[in-house]
Amino acid sequence: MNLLAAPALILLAAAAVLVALATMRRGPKRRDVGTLLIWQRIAEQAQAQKRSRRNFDWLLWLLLGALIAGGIGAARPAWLKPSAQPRVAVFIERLQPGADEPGLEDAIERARKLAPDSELTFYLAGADELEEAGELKSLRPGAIQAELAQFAARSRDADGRVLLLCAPVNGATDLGVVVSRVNTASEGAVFEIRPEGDRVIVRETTPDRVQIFDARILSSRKDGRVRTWECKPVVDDVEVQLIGSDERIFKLKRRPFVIGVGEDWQGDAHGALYEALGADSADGGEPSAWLGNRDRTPAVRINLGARTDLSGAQLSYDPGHLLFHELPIESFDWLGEGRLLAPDESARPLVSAMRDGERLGDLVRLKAGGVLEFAGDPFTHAPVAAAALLLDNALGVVTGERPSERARYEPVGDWRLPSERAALAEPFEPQGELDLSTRNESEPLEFTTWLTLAAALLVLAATALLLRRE
Amino acid sequence: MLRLRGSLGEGSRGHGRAQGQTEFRGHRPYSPGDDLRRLDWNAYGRLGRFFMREYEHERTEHVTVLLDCSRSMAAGDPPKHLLARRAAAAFGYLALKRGGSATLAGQAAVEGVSRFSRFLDHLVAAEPTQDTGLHARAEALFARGRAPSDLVVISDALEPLESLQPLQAMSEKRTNLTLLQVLAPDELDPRPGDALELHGLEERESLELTLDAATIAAYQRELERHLEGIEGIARRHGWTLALTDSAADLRELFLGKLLPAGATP
Repeated sequence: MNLLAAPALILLAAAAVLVALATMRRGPKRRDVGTLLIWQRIAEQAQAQKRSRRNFDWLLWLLLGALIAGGIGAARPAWLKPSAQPRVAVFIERLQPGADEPGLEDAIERARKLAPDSELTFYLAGADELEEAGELKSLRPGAIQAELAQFAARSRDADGRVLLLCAPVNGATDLGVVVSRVNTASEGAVFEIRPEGDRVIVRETTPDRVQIFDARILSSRKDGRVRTWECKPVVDDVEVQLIGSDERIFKLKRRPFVIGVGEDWQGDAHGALYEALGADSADGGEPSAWLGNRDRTPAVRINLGARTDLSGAQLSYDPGHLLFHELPIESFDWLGEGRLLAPDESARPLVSAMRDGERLGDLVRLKAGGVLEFAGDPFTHAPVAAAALLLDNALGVVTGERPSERARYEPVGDWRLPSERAALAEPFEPQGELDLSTRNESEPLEFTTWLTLAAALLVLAATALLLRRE
Repeated sequence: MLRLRGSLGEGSRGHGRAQGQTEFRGHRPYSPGDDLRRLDWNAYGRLGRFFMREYEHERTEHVTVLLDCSRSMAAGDPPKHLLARRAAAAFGYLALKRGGSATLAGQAAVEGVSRFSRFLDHLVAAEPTQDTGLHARAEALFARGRAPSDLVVISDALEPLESLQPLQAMSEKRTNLTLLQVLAPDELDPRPGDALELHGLEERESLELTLDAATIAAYQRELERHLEGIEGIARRHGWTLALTDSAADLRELFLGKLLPAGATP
């Protein structure tokens, strides 16, 4: 049953009432009179009146109205809203984030020329950030494919689409005609300033417009129109300055990296590993993790296991866990120390000792609050390289960021760079065609429901009138 | 309901025939109920039998009752023919009582109060079952050649006014005419009703009508027009005209209305 059936059932119910009334209806009552002499004159007068003016029988007109409404409704009429102009949706890829969009007026004008006599609707990612957004529709900024997916969904009723892109995108021509966002190739645009470990990577399009202060240039390479700078800051605050007409300064500052040391982390190997981390001094702020401390969290704790005979025991661990990332697990003698953590249901075992299929206890486990517990001290007994890798992984587990991958610098302020596509934008030949010949009609508005309902109401009114006459 | 309509000079006899004509005409045998004041005691002394003295004006007091026996008279609650026959009986009795004679149209004349029962027999036989209406019966009466001196017509008179033509012709021949129009209560004031099949007893036909307020008002206007037409004819010909409904009281009809209005006899 669909929605149209419900009023039809109401109509049928009204018809049933009518049928019942028709079968129950009696003829007029008989009354004897002496003579019809006077009555015939009245009847003749009534006939004359009927001839002189139309007899307006409400019952007839109500039933006629019901018939007309029901008949038209059964034909399922629909109103197709004619569109005076073709509706064209235009996607404009942003050249830079923020409140300004260079070349926007030009892009709009080019779109209008592509689709003259059309009703244009413009879509931009983050258009609501523009100072003069006007009638522009805003999309959520993201990867170009994600933005195009939003555009496709939002413009599904459009008769045609125009996409002004920085560079062609696979499948974009399926949406509509693709034209270049720019008239000339972009130049000297910094599109990436990326801290990576203790270094900063800067990428720009040629010609070079970047100057980097307080950093030692480690390398500079050019790949096509892209130059990549790799530098190592020598102070805590670094500036990347864009020279030329669009003078901008991007600042970075050093992120403090403080690791606390506890009473269990006092050995020579421990000290060497700590030094290798390159951590800041303890007075640099609150430690992001603790080593060998049994009270503070997050922490990497060692030597927590009890002496246990582990002869004949076997290891059990999840090699996919972050702790074992690129770790030569065979370099560690997990069982040799003879220490074992008693099973704890509240902790997640990472390395367990098994014997005859039975879990004896844990060698390494992770507890709530970012506490990684070791039964022994693999950092002392393992080869230095493996121990350093294990410590890097262990701190990654408890802090969420491995020290080896941790960026030592971070942007100062809220500056955003153009996308790589925008920085590399250059003109290209239009792809696809704007075909408005098969424009979509708007969703037809069906009247059947309302007409059927009107017919039912008219029938009910006729029934009520009939009952009054009875 | 009783109303008198358009009689000429209430209390008069219409054509100005001389009253109090007491020229002795002769004797007739006594019948029970006769007025003893007119008993001829001299004749009794001579002959030993009772004779009544008859005078000329009494001799000419012959009442003819034309009773409408058409089927329409069977209509009404009570039926119109009941009051019509009772009124005819009363007219006949009064005529006989005064020493005159009474004739139910189409029947033999009855003379003498002692023969009143014969008059009643004629009335009993006059069932409202005839196809002929007032017009035909009046024409038949007129065709006899001699117009009655006093004619009482009892009918609902629900016929075209043209049907009164024979009665008008009789009036031209100095017939003193009283028309008692008997209508059923429902004919004077019809009950409203929705779609009805009105069955005319007279025509044996049916007519479908809705007796709403408008139709009833139209009926009453048309009935009034019809009655006014009869009244106009009565006024022109000096008839005594009375309209009553079939539920009226006979005594009140006669003593209160008909006789004071000068209705025959």
